[in-house]
Amino acid sequence: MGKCGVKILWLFILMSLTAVLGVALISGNILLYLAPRMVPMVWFGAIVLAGLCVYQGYEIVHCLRSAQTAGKGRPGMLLFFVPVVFILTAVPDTSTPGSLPNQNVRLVSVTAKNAADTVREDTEPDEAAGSDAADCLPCVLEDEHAFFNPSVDLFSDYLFETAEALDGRTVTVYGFVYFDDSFPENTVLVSRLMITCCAADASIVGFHVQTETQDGLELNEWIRVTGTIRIMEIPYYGNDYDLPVLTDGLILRCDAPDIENAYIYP
Amino acid sequence: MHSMTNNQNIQKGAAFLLIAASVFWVGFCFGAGVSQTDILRDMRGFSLVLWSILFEALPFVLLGIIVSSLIQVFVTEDMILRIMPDNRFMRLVFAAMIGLIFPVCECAIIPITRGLMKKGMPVGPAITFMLATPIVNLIVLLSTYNAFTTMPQMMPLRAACGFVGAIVIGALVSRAQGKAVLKGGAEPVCAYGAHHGDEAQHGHSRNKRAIFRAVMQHTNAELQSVGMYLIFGAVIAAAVQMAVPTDVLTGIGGGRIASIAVMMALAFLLSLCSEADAFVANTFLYQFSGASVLAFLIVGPMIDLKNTFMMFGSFSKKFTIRLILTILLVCFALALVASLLIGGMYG
Repeated sequence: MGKCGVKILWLFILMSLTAVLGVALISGNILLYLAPRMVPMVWFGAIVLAGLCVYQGYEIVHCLRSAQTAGKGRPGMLLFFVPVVFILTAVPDTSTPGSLPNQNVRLVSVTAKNAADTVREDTEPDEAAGSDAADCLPCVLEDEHAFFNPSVDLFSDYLFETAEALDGRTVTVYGFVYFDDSFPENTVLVSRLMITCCAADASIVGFHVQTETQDGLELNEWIRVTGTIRIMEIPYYGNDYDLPVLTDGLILRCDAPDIENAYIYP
Repeated sequence: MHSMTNNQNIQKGAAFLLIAASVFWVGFCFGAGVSQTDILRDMRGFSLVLWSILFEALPFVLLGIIVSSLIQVFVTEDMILRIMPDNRFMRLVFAAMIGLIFPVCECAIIPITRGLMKKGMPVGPAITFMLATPIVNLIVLLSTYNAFTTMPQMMPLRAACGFVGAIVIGALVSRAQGKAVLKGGAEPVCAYGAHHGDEAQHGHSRNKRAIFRAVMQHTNAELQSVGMYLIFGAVIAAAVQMAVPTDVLTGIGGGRIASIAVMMALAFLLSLCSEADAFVANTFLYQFSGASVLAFLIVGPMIDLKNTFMMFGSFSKKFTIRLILTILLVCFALALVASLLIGGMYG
């Protein structure tokens, strides 16, 4: 490497990192990775990195003009390029978070029993439902047009505490399909991902949908379920819990939400 | 010199492996037309987890590095010794209490601790400060309270165990000699060749331009050093999150001791930010005892995959291994005591 080669390489690394942070911030894609409350810190990081780029440019000019040598580089510096390669070649989208393995599941469930009968196999993605997502979903009481606040009510103890009051109410739930071996038979979850800081801490939260068969529903598929709440006993890790359950559900396939609505936040 | 060569070899090996994997991946993407395959989906997932860890950690690491650089330029050994209590035990308590008002997570705290140790802060209080701060700071305690609304005891229990645990661990490792445990030895040299002692020895004059340049040089050098370990740790943590089925681990948990061990292992592998881990921990309450969830909450901020690599980049290998073992033993003991004393829900 030439006299100032290490400094030039470091400048290139700093510029690559600054570019990744800057593009994510300006495009709004940062919300696919982080909760909104963390975004100001990323701006701080991008500004600091940009400042270091400017300073490194000054160092290079200084190095080229003087007789000094920049010293040997460390092989580990090449590690900085690894995440840059991945962000350029495997770009995540709004369907990616739902496909992550090893996610924790929260026990809040509304079940649409026998909903398989109402799955419309031939439906195209429901564009209206996709746009609705930005306004009020994932959950609205249709008879009163009253909203659950998903950040506060839907995935906390609200449903447990108000179970009796919710009995018999009509609800629309929007989310992606999730199921695994721990679920009761023929049961899926209409779910959302809740993140506190970043996608690495995502937990799945949502409503169980009990169907006679799961054939019509695919993992990570976005759907909207409308049905009536009943209180039912749901088994979970060896115990039974009385939970609000969505019955007689109508299931529509939907588009995935925009990046701004990819997650819910506690 | 010998350890420097070993370090270079380790870096070369790690860099070679990861770069080779990246080159293979790029060739795979552009050569095989794999746009809809499961592999691409998984790699997108890996990319998402990797960058979510980096987007979250990098700004805090930068903040920690800037604070560390300011300490290098402006703080002298005398200043450190002047504010520390004379009594050795009170020094540890004092270091743990700083954490209460220092809203910094585990990513930022390592460069700051390294900076303080370079300036002569004794090992015990420095390690206590490093381990207590990500647990007992107000933001983390508030998020713990919010996550455990049905079990409000969890927040004070986490604070108490984090506080006590950090003091005990600090006391246990305090025999080590301050600057000797730092990677690079007692007289650290930055990437630009500047010898770091106190300000006078350092050669940074009071000239504003020279001070600014010194801070920038330190920041650059620290970022090179800590940043590559952060990236290596983040790559490994993302790979583990994608590839290791956590239900294999959670399937083990049943008895009092096994469930604590499993939750400690999960905290280590998942590498969650201490501000977020309470919400994930809450989801395990249906499968594990309260004591094991408490173990998850105190181990994660002290030691995880991501900051293990940062520690290896900051401290000597021998000290880091000793520190990790001490953390695991003390946290296990604390969780076991909580389980035995409190019983019931926490048993």
